[in-house]
Amino acid sequence: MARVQMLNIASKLLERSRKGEVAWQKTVKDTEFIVSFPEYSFVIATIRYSDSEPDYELSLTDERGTKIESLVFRNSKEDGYQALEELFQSARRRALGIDRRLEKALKDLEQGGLIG
Amino acid sequence: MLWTRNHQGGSVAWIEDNWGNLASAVGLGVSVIGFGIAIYQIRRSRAAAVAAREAAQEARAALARNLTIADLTRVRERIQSIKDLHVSQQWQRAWDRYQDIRELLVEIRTRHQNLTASQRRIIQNAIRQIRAMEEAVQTTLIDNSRPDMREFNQMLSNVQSTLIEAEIQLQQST
Repeated sequence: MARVQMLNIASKLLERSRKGEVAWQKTVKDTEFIVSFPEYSFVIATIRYSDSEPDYELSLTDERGTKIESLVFRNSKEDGYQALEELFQSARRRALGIDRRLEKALKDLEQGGLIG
Repeated sequence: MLWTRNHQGGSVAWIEDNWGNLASAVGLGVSVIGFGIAIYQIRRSRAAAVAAREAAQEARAALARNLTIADLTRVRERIQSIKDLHVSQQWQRAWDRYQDIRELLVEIRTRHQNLTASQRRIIQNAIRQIRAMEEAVQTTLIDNSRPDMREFNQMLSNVQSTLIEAEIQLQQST
């Protein structure tokens, strides 16, 4: 039951993230991003073990910041792995302001004149 | 003159005849006026009671806001002391303090019911950011590695800024 709910949550988070409606934030860990609500947070994280493909984990934390539920995908052949991977990449781009900076860079490069 | 005397005599007689009715009419008038005054005084005292109750509620709300602001300021000061521990690379001592800060933030959110959803979200975010720091430092303590002090302090500065934002929101909610 909890897994089904987490899958639904992952789907909704991905949908809203694609529209740029989730304010993901970075943490001191390079491999995780968070979004907080008044009483809980979601954490999307990746773990890479040597040459193998990375794991993706979506967690729900309680009001103390402790993980209380999580959805983990370790194999790219699993249904849902691609969704969590996309969610992680979307969260990363939003938290680090990558899309915003790329758009700015493109505009700067399209303008004439001296660069640098 | 004769008319006047006769008229006065008639008036007196009329008054004597109708004294009871006159007294009743005057009494009724006095009662109506008194009733009006009583209604006016009741309304005035009710308005005063409502105003007093509203003033008391506002005073309580102002006190609650000030206590919340004071608590948030206290958290920011404690975060500042953790930043100093990071600068001096005292990671074990910093790690010991993270939990205190988190507990304090949880307590603030529980105790102060006047916080808005936006302010509670700021606190929740601060709690999770500090929890991530705690986990990262724990890993480095086990690995015997050294965390990036500048990154940690930048993150704590961000947390302090959002707490200031919550304090300003509270100050402006008067």
